[in-house]
Amino acid sequence: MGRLLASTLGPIHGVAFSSTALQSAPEPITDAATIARRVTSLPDRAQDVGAMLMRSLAWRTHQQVGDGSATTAVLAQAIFEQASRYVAAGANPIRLQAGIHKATLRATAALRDMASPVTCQEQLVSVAYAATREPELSFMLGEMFDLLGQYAYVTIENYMAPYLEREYIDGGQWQTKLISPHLISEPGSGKAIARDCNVVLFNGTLSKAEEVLPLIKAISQKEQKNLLLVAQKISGEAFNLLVATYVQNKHRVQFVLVDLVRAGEKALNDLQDLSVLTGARLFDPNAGDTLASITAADMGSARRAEANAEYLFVSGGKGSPAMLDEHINALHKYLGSLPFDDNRVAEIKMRLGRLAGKMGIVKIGAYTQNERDVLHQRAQQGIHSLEAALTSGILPGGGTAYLHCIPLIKGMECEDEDENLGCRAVMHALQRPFEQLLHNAHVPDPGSLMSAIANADPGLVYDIQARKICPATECGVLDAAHTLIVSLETAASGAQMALSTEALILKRKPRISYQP
Amino acid sequence: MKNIWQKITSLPLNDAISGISAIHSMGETDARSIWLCSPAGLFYEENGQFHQQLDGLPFQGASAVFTLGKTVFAAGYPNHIVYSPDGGRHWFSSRVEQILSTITCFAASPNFAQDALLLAGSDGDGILRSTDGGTSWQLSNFGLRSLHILALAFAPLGKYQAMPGRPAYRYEMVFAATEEGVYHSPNAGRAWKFAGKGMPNVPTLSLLVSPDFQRRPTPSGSHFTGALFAGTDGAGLYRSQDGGQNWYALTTFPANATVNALMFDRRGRLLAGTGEHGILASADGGETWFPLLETEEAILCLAEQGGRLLAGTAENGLLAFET
Repeated sequence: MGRLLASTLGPIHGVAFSSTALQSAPEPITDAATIARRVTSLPDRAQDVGAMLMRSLAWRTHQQVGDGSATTAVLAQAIFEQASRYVAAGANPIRLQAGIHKATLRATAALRDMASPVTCQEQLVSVAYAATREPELSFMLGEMFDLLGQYAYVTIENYMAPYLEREYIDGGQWQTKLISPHLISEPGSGKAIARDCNVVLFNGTLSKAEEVLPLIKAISQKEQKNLLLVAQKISGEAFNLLVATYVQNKHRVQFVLVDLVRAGEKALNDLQDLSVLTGARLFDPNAGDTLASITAADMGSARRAEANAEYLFVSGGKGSPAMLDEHINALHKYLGSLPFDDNRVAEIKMRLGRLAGKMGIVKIGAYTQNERDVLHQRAQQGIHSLEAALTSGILPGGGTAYLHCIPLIKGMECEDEDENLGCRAVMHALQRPFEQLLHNAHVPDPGSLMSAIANADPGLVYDIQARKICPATECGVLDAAHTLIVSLETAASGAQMALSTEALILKRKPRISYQP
Repeated sequence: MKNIWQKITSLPLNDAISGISAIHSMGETDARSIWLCSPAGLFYEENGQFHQQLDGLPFQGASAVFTLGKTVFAAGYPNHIVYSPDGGRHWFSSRVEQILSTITCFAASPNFAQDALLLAGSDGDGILRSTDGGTSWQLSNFGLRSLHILALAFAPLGKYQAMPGRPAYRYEMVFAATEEGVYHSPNAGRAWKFAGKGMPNVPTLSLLVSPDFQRRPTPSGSHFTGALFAGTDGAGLYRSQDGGQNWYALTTFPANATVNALMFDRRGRLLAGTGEHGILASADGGETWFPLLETEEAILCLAEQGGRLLAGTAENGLLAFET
């Protein structure tokens, strides 16, 4: 399994084909994460345990940073193989583990120190290219993250024919449903638009006329009469009254009236975000609120609200900037407290993106489902890598950054010889990604190249495509620091677990797990 | 050569002329070769005489005009955009996303023949983008803080590759002058980023991009060559040599001048139409300046057509100078 995943490392690598009974043609796979996901068991029960451990490590890295699965596999295998030799020669596995842990900490600290912040769009394009190997897609993602910044929330839309485009969303986007086609003010685009509108938020169902009458009265007394009303559901008499009011006054007012599509906690999140962004009070019937007492002060405002059949877009919210900052900081803190694979991570990232006005869509398409899947996955990898690069900075790629950690580990003091052997296992492993890249690209004489790079300026890398040593920023061979750090940590963790395994308990009828 | 400017007397207009656009090669003797806009209406020159365009327009007062080949684009009060694909003979209304403010300026992609891309700036609704040659327009304001757009300027298209085998970087750079300074878009107006570092806190009224504007790779990324010029409202003229990242005041230009219009003439001279100093010209990219037209009349717009320099004024109609 390790060798299979390692064969996908680098810009020039092999292709694996996956074949199942359901597919007429084998599926070509070029990235380690997908290979890991496709291999669900090995015939040999004992080997299967190791393979599934490796699969889990590769997938964990992929989930966390979107890239680095092959690097994780290479590092994990190298640490484990070297440490196993030491154990076979009589070293204490526990002390070896301590050494591996110590060396990993030192190496990750060194990687953090060596990382430099992203300074230009070209660097972002290079990071995206390292993850996707798609020049056009990388260019587009690099441009998007350059414009959107660290808290970008980029989603992917698939199309049925070859297509590559991007769209930037001005303001925030909410999943809603326009309650009536009578509200559409732009028939061509099917949009209802309200400019400089009052914003009213209701976390419940509005169905009776008397529930919305106070709102209509309050709006009629305002100088600016345009309205965005967001509720969980607007129906019955309330619906009729609001739509009739709009139709009677459509030449003087603009109404955008929408039902929320999401339910429960997510609907509340939507309303809370709108409340902070526009400065509107959130009326919650669960807390006894009704619109009966609504005043002008309860209404927020926005420069523009537009809704179509699926989404509401709000830009230029006039909420308090201080409250918005506080809300964004609280969400950041919450995001930081969640494990990377928590279901809520995507939701929080989306909320941060729309609150900060940093939302974009990558539109990709291909003729076949396979191509679309591959493109989608690569775009996802690129997005994760760029998020990591903007968060943690960038490092020279192609395994070079790992090579420059080796002298630092060499200089560490260890408590005993076995701990020292653990450090040596990590040092050995840190050379392996570079060697594997050269091996995959069939580059002759990897030894002399490795010593040339190890002794060179830390900013120099070996560009496999150009077959020469050059500055990383010049040739664009860059990796996100976070990706390298997570790959090493995950690999060391997996190798330590394997190293401390004394026995395997095999069930008579094992269950196959499709989730790595 | 005598520097004599003459008022075009055939133009029945003493109102402010806010825009001039010239059609250069129609290949027809009766071509409507010069178009200009003013609150009084849209005017064109035909056979040496100016006439008001009265037919086919849903507006009277015109706020912006722009020509591209034989196609004329015009905007009128309050918020109309029309276009004529045959040099002003027939007019069609564009479908414009709901806006309330007036269109102030137009710009066309240098690659218009392929991408049919146009931008229009508005005074309060931001930037409209058309990808179908002006038939329909959608707002494209991502990243803009100020929605009062006073000028738009596309840079020449470009593409460069840091190294063989690496992704080629394409740039479709366009600049927007707003009430809060200059913005740039690296992707033909899809999204905008503030690019006004070093500019004073006054509206930017005019923009000009050198024809030699290019992006080149460097060891640490890329840099821009070719100058950008930005004229301000009462704070002189600014120049950027790095793609709009940093701006510096041109010290040889009157420091408190209002620069309403900028253009390169066919001799490659940089011309600036000002509010107080007439028209100033520079033959060395802005290092030194000399007066081309000395007048206290505010010059609002400039154009060149068939060996004539044309200057639209605030109160004195159209002035012409045979070069």
